[in-house]
Amino acid sequence: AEKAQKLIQKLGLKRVEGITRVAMRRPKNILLIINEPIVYKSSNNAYIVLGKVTVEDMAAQARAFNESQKQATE
Amino acid sequence: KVQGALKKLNMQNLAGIQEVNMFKEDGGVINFRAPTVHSSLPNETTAIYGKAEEKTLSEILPGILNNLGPESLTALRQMAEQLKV
Repeated sequence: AEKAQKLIQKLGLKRVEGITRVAMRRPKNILLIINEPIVYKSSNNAYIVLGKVTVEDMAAQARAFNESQKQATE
Repeated sequence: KVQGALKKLNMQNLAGIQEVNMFKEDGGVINFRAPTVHSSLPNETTAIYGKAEEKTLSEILPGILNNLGPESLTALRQMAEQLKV
């Protein structure tokens, strides 16, 4: 990540402040999430996001939640 | 120019990204429809190329809900009910 940060500083990109979370949506409710990202913007509408990508499967989470609800009411 | 520089990081194309949302502290959202996304997981770097639109959360929420599917909606409703207490 340090290598990337150095490279980006050299490109002279503008820092975008105040971004708390980046969510990238793929089909089947799979989300790629970057929490607390460092975001840079270039003049031609390219955004560079630094941060760890985690995968969230919303459909699986909903199923798990439904299961736990069922068990709780039984 | 940016893309060229990022080639050094071994960026790979992340296929099939339909939408990207960047959530801001002030409740705003930067929304991209069908952007090109390149990423290098080891470098923890992701590049998003596409048309950005500034929106508010209430503008995009219906779209997010529509994409969740019935089972997620049920779960969401249950979660909301629990929060009401």
